[in-house]
Amino acid sequence: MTSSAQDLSHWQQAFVAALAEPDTHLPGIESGHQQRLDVYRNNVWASLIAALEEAYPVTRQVLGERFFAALAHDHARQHLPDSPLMMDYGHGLADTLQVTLTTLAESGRATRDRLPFYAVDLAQLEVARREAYHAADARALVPTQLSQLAPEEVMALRFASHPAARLLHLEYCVLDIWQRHQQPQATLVGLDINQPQTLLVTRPAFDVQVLPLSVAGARLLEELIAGEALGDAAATLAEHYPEEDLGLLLAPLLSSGVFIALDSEH
Amino acid sequence: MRDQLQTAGRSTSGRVQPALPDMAAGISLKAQHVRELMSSRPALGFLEIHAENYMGAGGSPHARLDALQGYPLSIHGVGLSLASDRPLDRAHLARLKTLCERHTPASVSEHLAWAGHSGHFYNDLLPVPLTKAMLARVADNLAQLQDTLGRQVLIENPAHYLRFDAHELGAELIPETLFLNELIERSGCGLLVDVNNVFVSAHNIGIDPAAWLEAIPASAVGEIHLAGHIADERESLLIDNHGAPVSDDVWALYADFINRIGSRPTLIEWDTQVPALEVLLGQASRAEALMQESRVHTASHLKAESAR
Repeated sequence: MTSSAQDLSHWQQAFVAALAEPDTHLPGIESGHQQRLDVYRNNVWASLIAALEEAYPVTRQVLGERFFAALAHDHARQHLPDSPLMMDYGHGLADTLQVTLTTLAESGRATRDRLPFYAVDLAQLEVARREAYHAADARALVPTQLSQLAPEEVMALRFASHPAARLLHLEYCVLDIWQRHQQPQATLVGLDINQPQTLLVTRPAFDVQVLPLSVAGARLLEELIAGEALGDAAATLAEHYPEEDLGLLLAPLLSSGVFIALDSEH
Repeated sequence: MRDQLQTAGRSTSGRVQPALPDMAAGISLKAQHVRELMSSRPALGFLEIHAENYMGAGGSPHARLDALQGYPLSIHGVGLSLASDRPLDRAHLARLKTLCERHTPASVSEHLAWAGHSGHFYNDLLPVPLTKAMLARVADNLAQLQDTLGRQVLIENPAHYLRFDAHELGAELIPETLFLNELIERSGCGLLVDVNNVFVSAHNIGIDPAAWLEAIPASAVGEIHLAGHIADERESLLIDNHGAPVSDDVWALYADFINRIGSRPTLIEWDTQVPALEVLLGQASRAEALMQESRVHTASHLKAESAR
């Protein structure tokens, strides 16, 4: 690097450092205009907070606007975007929230059961929905594809998962919480939130869908996603969950969009 | 040179030239307007998108562009950091190339700005000290960008909020219009003149907006942006917020500009507090009407010239 290019690099380094330090003096800016760096400070942090608000609308609704804005600001300060794709930004917000709530609980400022730890799971659902929304296109399997096959051919099938599919094991019944918050004036009255939930997020065409799975259903799906033939997955299922019916567990999976069409290249 | 800009085709450099019609008035494409655009199909010269919002692998954003491909598309990048202290991020450049191959834009543009440093992205257009070293850096980056895409790219003048101190920087500062002229010379890029940014900057850092526009080479102007701004009372600054109607001052500056250089593809830019589609269409119609008037104006001007 030439010395002038090095100067440029140092100056830009000093500029981004000044974004995080109000009232700092940045050499190279007219002295009367130093305060105007606030325009950039405001733009940068406000735009990152806005990006997180857009990504986590229900988490924000649950936490409240002020708490969420503070959380988003903390998160942005700790984790700047690593690419210009804001659709990927903030996937670790659930972790920041978990740490924040844990710190609050440990400081004694609020008891653990009064804090919305379920919002951590909610944030995971929202980020999975966003990933599914932007995931690569692929033709999803439709159950009628299987109807032309002989039973032994069906049991020999191996499935490939759709690029949009996400499986979430959560501690709270987040799908119910999310659905209730699709209405204004949402309330959790009458809902026992402390029920673990396994959710399958898919996007068979353009709309993101979320399906709750039973423990056995999730196990079946995991076997299939791991590449086991249907017959082998069925045997595993029978061994661990002898009371479960394969057909009843399989039908919603086959129509969920979690697998790509049988004749797709993969 | 203008003739080459008006028609799609390759220049002597082998680069595809921007191909929006000169009289085209366009709007920013917003997700909330897609349904209405598809059902009512309003007459619009083009749609403009922020490149980075369409760099996901698949899903609705791309389907939206496919469904609206009857409208010419302008791809406007905000994340390439042409004026960063280093060469372009190869991964991001590759994403932009993929996007251009997938949706075949009529025009591609970026900013004279930087938005990232040391692997971090700040999601804002950060200010650029216009020094000789910077000129060399941006010209190199622009050449790489245009070579990669195989097309001419338009570069946009940003909004300015502060003045640099040349002495403290230890380098001479080049006036922006001269800097842009040099960039055109060195890289063969075109210009996207944001008239609102000229107006806002003129107020904020004390330049003459008309003189700024006078110093821009007409033949290089491939697109014009119009947007709204707000006043920040504390610092008596104007802020380019893309969240308001175009101000009367900016309309007047725009009319003068196109009366002089002729019509250019003109975008109504509105990104925050996005209003109903009809509001954007109304602003685009106003730009179109001014372009029609400018044609009459320019024609009668030419008549008067030839009668002399």
